[in-house]
Amino acid sequence: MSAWLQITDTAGAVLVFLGAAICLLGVVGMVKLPDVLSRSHAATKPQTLGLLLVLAGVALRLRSGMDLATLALIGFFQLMTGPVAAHLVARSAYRTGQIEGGELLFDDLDAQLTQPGQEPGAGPEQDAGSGRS
Amino acid sequence: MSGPETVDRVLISAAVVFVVLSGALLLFRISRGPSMLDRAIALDVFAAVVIAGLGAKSAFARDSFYFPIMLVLAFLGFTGSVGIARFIAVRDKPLSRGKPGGKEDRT
Repeated sequence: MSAWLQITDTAGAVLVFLGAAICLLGVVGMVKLPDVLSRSHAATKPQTLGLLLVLAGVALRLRSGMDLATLALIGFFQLMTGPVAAHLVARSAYRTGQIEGGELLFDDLDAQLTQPGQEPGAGPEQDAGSGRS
Repeated sequence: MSGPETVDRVLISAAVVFVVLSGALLLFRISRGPSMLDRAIALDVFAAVVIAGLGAKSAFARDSFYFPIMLVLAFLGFTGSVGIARFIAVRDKPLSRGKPGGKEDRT
């Protein structure tokens, strides 16, 4: 019985180590990559995969009910709030002109920005206000 | 008993070293980042790295004392980057590249 607990502890330590290594890989990508969108692509690795691996490792090492529930909540909130921030940052990068349009294969946001009225709820008066960009 | 415990301690200590190295590289990106959006993404990742470091500390000491702090960081860590992307990045001067649309009039 104690051997299985020891195996669980070591598996948790290995998961924490793997999560930290994936965090380091993603951060190296954030330092090396040249663009806002590619850095945002690299930023999702520490945010989701590395953090979930670390939380799974901590859950394997602690093994009590309340701690498991708290760790599940931490992972859930991280999964919920990560795409919201990434979406807003990428949209703001597009609007402030930090993305080269020639390198995009599809550019549906350009048609929605230059032809107001196609998009529901985005009239011209709202386009000039503070609600956009 | 002492052998696998030593393996666990070595693995988690290496994880802490990786997390600290990630934080240092992210501070470099925050100070260097050409635009405010790069800093926003880097701050968002920095919150995740802080959560990972607190998780490594909790796994090392087997206590759940820092779990509420991790929960609050996971819940509120994105508000900083959202605020930057929404309100501050507009004032940031665009780089010398062309605008994608070209017709948008921003003052």
